[in-house]
Amino acid sequence: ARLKLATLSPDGSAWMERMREGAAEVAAKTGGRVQLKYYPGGVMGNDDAVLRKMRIGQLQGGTVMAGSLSEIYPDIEIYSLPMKFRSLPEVDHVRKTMDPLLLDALSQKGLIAFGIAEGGFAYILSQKPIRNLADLRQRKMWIPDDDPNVLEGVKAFELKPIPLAVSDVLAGLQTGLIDTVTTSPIGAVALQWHTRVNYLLDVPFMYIYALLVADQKAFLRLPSEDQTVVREVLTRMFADIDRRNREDNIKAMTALRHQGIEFITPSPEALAELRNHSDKVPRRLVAAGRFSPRLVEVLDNHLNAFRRR
Amino acid sequence: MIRRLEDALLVGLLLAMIVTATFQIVLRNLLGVSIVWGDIMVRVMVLWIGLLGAMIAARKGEHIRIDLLGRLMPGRFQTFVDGAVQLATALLCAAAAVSAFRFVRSEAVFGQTAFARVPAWACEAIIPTAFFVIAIRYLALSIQNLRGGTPAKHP
Amino acid sequence: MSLYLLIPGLLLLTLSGAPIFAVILATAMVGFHYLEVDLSVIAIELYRIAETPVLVALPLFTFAGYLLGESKTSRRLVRLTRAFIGWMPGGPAVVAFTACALFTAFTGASGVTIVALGGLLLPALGETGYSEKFSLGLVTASGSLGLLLPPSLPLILYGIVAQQLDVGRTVTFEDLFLAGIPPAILMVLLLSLYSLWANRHSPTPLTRFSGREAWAALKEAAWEVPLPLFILGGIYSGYFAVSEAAAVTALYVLVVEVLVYREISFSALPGIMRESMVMVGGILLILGVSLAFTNFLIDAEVPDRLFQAIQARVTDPMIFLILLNILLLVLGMLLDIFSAVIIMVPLILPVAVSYGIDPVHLGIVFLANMQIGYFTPPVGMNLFIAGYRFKKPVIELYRAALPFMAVLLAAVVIITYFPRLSLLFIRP
Ligand code: NA
Ligand code: NA
Repeated sequence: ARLKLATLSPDGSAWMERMREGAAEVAAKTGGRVQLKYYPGGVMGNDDAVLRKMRIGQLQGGTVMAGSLSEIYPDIEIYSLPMKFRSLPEVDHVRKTMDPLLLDALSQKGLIAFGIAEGGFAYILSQKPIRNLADLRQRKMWIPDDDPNVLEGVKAFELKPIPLAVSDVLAGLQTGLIDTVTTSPIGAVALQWHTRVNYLLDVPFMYIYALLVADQKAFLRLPSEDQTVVREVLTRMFADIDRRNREDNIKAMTALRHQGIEFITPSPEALAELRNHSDKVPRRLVAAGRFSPRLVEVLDNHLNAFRRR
Repeated sequence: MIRRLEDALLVGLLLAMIVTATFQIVLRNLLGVSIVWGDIMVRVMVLWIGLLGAMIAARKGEHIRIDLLGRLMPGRFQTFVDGAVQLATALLCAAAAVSAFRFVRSEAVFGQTAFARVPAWACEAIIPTAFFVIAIRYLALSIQNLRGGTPAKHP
Repeated sequence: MSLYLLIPGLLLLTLSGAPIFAVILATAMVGFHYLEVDLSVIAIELYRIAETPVLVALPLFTFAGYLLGESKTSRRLVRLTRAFIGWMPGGPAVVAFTACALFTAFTGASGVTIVALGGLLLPALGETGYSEKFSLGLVTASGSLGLLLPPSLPLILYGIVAQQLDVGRTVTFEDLFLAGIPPAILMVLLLSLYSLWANRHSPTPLTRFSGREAWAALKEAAWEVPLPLFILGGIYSGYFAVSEAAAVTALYVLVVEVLVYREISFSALPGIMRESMVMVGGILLILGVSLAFTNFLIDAEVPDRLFQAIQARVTDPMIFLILLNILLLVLGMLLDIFSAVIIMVPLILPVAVSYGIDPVHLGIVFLANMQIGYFTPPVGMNLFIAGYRFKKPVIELYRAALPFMAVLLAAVVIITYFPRLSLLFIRP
């Protein structure tokens, strides 16, 4: 059987190299019965197109950003709540117990998920310094034009954002249409946005991540021993990618410093004010019916337990 | 009746597109506000305008074509070839309409939103509609030509 | 049914006059059928039109172009260019070339130029004393001149496709815009020299430069002259996004032609809108089914195979460029420029970069070839649009356009093998 998987990451990237190793391992361990075929570089279209193509059976799976799955299972975006995590150890503690919960819930919706790969913390990058909420409110801040959750976050901070397609962001930074973006260090470097900003607000703003998913119907068509192999290999492969991305983000962060971008640490009062507003976001999203209150509570309990230690 | 509706929709959408995009600029530069789903709506309008235009172009078979053999053939035979080719086009578009319709139906079941509260299937519905209308129109042109009556004129 | 039977079948369908979109659609459908992919994929790919921000500019610029075409803008533009460079030997031809080039740069879609300017230029050139054959060839060939000048849409589309490809070198719009200028000037120059030579036995009278006429022409076109500055200024100062610039253009032109010049009545507007959008529909439908066809090629791994085939046989960048020119000329005959960019750039660019060819230079080479493809016999959009507009048999247009094609072919050879020309302003 052939499993056709799409991904946005370009051919030749470290991510794709590891994916190809995984494909070779699956082929070897199933005696060539299962072939993984990749479509890198976004050639199959954006995440929405990839998910549509999975539903009609042209593709059997792919890597997609968590936000793209929010129509299927809204809670999948729960780690992306603004300023929810303060450090990577917090993330690791929560993910250890909550990842299985989320992946299991996805399988109830007809998607087999092999894991979550960290995209890293997104930071606020700007052309003029941002030291507090008042500064942030004065900036022309870009937000993606297709994510309703981001919009709720923006409302909580009382910002006046400028929605644009990702493809228009670099031009927007060049012309001054926008002067502030939120993205991970890897993202900033890959999209060349880092050449157009001068400051980084050194507070993890939100956690972003992708998932490797396969269509359940297609997956269950494989002989059960092959299912076990595929699941084992792909889970290990994606966990590897998850780890490597963390290292890549550290490198990208260094690249940002070398670029001459100034890292701004806000004062305790300014930080408290930002946290105060970000705390409203989960409530808003629960009220809007986007997140289940129970899951937000579980997340908070894990975090509080970790912080008390 | 359908023609009037098509024309009105096309003109309305083009005007709405100009107004929305300009309104966004004014809102942003004067009030610092943006309609978040404005850009997505405008992009869906482009799809609708394009396919409506394509439907209208099919009325007289005005879709761009390369007619080399036809020019070399005697008139009566040319009419027959035109009819045959239009019939093939109609069948193709009908097949495309059927598969596009199945797609839109499955999207309706899936229930994704495109922007604001507008469901994705409603935005996509223009695709099977356009193929269906184009199929009907090329079928009509083909019948006209194959009967050998008044030949449908081509650019 | 064998694939080998299919190709002559599709060719026959094409030459018998099936709409281009239907031929591409048929190819995609048969292809997906072979791959056992549900044909719903065609609708999914068509929907990607709604997920491509740059396409917003297409209907808006086309509408603006039709408005300019319906009003007397083209006359003012010709008067303006004649007033400023009409003193030059071969002036009227140069004026026509320049006007067409500037118009195409701003309207993007090349058919619009022939429809809007051609109807005025053809009789004007005739009155000046050029033969009908020469004038016809000039207008047909000039319909795609200016494709390399900013802000032409194919140039922008190339930039977008190239940026998504991650070939290790960034392709910025500024670089592309600057790179297109010297080659475009070269083309106008060579065409002008040819015009002088072709009419050496019957030279046309010159108009002397007059400050008063120049000022009068400038004043007459006062509302239209600032348009390009206004649009580019708006984008570069951050007042509006690139995709919004098209809407501002459309609105501005609408106001100027309907309310200021009053050359278009309110009652004529719906008709103009309809006409322009029918043309957009034709182009977008071809683009949509081309997306599906491209997706079939990708699913069938054709790009990978082509990449490997070229990689295995070609070792020299020069040979690669020669093959590329031939390939692009053929493609220019078969495809419209938007499909060609979307289908071919992802295939060609990585190979080209691996031969050390600058991606910006490649973009200019690509579009320069495509520009000629618009009117190379037997197949070319300009030829058909001109045939329709001037009510001339296509065979007559073939003969008229041939010498102009030869001149532009020489220009393309120079552009291809002297990358310094394209890179003059960006990598000195
Ligand atoms: Na894409
Ligand atoms: Na051609």
